[in-house]
Amino acid sequence: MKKLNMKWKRISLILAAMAGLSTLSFNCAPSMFQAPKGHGFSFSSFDVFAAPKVSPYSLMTSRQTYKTFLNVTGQEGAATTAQQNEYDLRSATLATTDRLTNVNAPLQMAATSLAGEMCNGLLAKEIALPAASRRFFGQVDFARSAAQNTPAAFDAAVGMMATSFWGRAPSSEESKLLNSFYTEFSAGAGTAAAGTRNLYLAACTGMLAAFDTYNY
Amino acid sequence: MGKVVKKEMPMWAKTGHSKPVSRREFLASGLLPFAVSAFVPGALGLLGTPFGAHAATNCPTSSGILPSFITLNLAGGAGLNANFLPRDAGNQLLPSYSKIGGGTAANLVTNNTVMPWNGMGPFLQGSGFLNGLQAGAPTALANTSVIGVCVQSRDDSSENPFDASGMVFKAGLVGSMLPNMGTERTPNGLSNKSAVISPPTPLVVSSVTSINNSIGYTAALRNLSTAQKAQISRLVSSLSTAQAAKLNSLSSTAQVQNLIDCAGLKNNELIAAGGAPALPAALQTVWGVNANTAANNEANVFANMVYHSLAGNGGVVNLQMGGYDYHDGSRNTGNTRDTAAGTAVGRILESAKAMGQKIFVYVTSDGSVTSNDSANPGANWVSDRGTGGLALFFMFDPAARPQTSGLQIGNFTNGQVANDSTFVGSDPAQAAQAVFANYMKFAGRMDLFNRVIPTSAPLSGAVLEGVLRV
Repeated sequence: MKKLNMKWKRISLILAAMAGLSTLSFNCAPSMFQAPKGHGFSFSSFDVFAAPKVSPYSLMTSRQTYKTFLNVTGQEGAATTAQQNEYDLRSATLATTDRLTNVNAPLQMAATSLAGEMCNGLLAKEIALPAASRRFFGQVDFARSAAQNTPAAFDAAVGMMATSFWGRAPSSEESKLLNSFYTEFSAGAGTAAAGTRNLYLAACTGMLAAFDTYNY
Repeated sequence: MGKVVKKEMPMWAKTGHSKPVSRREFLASGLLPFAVSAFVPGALGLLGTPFGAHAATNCPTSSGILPSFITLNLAGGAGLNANFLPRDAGNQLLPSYSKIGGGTAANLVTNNTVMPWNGMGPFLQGSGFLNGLQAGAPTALANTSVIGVCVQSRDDSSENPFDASGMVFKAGLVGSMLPNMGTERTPNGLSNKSAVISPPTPLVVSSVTSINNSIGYTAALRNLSTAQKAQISRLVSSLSTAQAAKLNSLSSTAQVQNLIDCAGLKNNELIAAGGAPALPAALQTVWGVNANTAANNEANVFANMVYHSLAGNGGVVNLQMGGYDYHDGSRNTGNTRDTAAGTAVGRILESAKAMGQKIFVYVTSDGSVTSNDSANPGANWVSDRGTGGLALFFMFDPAARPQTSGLQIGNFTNGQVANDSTFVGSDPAQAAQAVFANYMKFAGRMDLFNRVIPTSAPLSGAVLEGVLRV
């Protein structure tokens, strides 16, 4: 009988511990669903059950834009000081709510300048790698001038950037725009290798700062 | 019992994911394709819309229909009532201002030469604010009128809904290059709340660099040539326009395409022009700044914000000065800060004169202060006293001094407090609406007033007529 009581005591203790753990997990559960803290965003039960918006599209808020730019350029968790500083400078001009009507000239200017710093970091990272290990600019020879690189290398880079930044391949209209840009920019890029870096900095910036990167 | 309508849980929440932040996460959660196909079936056919088929129309411009609106908030609870003397309901001086630093009526002297109305001078002779006004605006005051708004407010608080910038924005004051601006990192750029409507998020200006950077690229793009920057700007603009075409089929978002087009057009112009215009020499003189003045110098920041507003480049401007919780048992601190505030307002008015533009300047503060009870003006400030609150607004017109029908809205009682039975007396939000009404009247655009304050609102009919002084 004493053995039986000891056994039930142990079972009770184990059950009590499991109940406590369950309660703790349940109470902490909301934090598991919480997205990165950011400007203008919070997760609450109200948000979960919020009525669908009249518009199916939304704009990313300031902090979301910053995080997304880092994510899609493969720099998540490794923001440089320059990138952080540029975000601090621009954050007030980026969207504070997810309304599409937040779009205006200063927001677009801010997004472009921030994208420029993101692309600068991306280029620095990829140029340091062997071509075969690069994700975006594998066919680009940064030691040669823009004229010495090929349109095919540009197309390949554009394809990779579009997939990562926009979640899809570029449309025919977008491809035409990018090809026109390539022709015009390359013509003025000069004969030094730096011109190639500038070309891809500009192309990356233009694509990263385009509307489809920061709306969803 | 009524039928309960279940709201739909977003897919990412149903699957237990966190709210998507990256495009990858959106794709992984299935949100994007799901959203497009479920809500926008008709838009799928628009993916092939030729680029350039949509031309921007009705881009917001500063057409000069509304004069500049500048707010100066004095954070801490300034003793404005010891500078601008509030009067009773009959526009007569109170018997005494002994608790608010002005002494008895018999012992005080009003300045009857600066902005008088019907021979009555609004300011206490020798007051700090008046001294600052005269120093900052040596020539503009002759074309300026001032009105006091007798309103109680909370001391040392950021909760007073004094801010009118949202109403002014909705009425149509929009900058061509810059959004509305503010000096504080808050939703309205000030340490108070907005009345009726919140403005769009302001550009927070902590230095002149903030403004210049908003009208150009920085960081990694800075060293590219102007032509190269222009090419980037056009690429962003043209890609965004093409990508926004999907919004046209939705009535809720059709106008967004135009916003994007207009944004691109404006930025293309700015980048091609090489960035922000410099502060004109005349305004450098008014504000006492030059090319070597530090970018975060208060006068330099204020000068540039005011300039861009007067030039139509920026919208509503919200400025803030600190140090107005000055009840330290003396009068010196208060006088110094009052002079600084008056100087700032004077310079704003003088800037408008230099640029030949109308301007409306609204001065607010959170609460007020009380002095030792003294029959003589100049008693020391000893504590807060929000019941004796006051706001001011100034109107400058280069053509002629604006005619007004009084010195104040609302009144003070013989107890030296704002009369809380008037429309403005107990509610800063209503005081802000009254100020807004006078701004629209000054602008000659009362047709736009009801765009913001409907005819069904309390501020209409006889009540509206009762607060207009222009």
